Amino acid sequence: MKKLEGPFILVNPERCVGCHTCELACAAAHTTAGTIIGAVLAGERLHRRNWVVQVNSVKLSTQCRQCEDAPCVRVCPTGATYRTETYTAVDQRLCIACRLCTMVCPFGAVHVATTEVAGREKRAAFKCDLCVDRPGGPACVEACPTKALTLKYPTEVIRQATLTAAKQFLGALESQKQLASQ
Amino acid sequence: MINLTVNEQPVTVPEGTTILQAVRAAGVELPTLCFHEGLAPYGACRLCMVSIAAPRHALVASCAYPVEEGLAVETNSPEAVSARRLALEFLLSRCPQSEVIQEMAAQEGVTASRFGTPPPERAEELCVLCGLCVRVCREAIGAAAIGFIGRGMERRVGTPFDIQAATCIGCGACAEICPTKAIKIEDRGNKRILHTWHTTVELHKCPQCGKLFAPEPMAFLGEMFPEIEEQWALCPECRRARTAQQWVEQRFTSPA
Repeated sequence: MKKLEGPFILVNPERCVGCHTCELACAAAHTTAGTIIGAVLAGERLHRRNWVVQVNSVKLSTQCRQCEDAPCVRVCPTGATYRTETYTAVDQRLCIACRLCTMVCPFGAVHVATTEVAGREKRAAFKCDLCVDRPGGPACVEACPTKALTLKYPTEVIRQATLTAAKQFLGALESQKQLASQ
Repeated sequence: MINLTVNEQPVTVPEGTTILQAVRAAGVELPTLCFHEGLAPYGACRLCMVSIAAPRHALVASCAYPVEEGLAVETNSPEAVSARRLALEFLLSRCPQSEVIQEMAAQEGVTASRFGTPPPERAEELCVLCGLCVRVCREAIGAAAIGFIGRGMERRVGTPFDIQAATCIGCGACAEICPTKAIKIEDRGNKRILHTWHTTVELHKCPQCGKLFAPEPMAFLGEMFPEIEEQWALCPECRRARTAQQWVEQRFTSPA
């Protein structure tokens, strides 16, 4: 069987304008109401799983990289953070809010916050789940007004990089030929 | 898959499910205090008592009873209701000040307990001895920093010899999981004080932003996960900034 490959969300910093629309889309997509206004009116808590970060003068969004051998999954003592073939997510019913996952995530992509789980208020871990239950795919990718966010597939990214490198190499060969003929 | 009925309504659940989970899957509410999905069943609080009518007649703690084919569960039979009420009366008698217990009792129609009130020195008691803190510390975290002490009336939860628990990592999962908010934890200055456990742990300071974010004893995670060695000292916020910085640098310095 072909090994399934998990995608992850990546930002193009040249396109990101730091408008935080992805954060709002993320928070809204994970509510029952489905919209910010609806969730606020229903008294639902809004939690985003991505952050727009400013680096020097560039703004860009960061979120979970969907590690295959994810430290957050390995450290979780109750199995609340789990890995399927293509993504990692949190089953908040199992979460005990020990915060070990927030401590081991190299990207700082997991946070613990108060939420309502199965009718009870508790603190639980939050992380990007690629909106797996959403028919249209990740809400942030769909909402991004400048198309800075895309869902990337690692092998596709590698193929592209290899192509670029090969083209560069060919280009270099070309120029050498010209140099030799001169 | 196992077929059973909950209040005469048919339910199908996977094997190994407990009656409690099946009842909740059927949309029927049952009160619980000592149950947590992430931990093994324990059956201490006796609030989830239900009657089973088939294949045999019994009163069982639904959280610890695995479903079986043809099981007929009744959540509102007179004996189940009175068992739950009795448990609530005991709890109310132990912790009359607990708002959680008061609310749960009111929902089951219990307003007063026949078993009196606690002695004055225990008037403020909030702990119901459900064992969630003890179990989360032992089963999940693996620290076993706290345990039950004494028997009968003297039973309580504490650290060995009631002094600083050497194995406590200061994660605070005990306080998070406590259903009656009986465990007091406070971050004061650069220390996390677990008042109930007579334990104080130091908090680690992020070298970049100065934010205190993790208990120092959690540093063992850095050794357990060599791949986060570089990021370990940083707080999640600074880790995000670092990730973003690296990505931008890589993006704008690498050719094409």
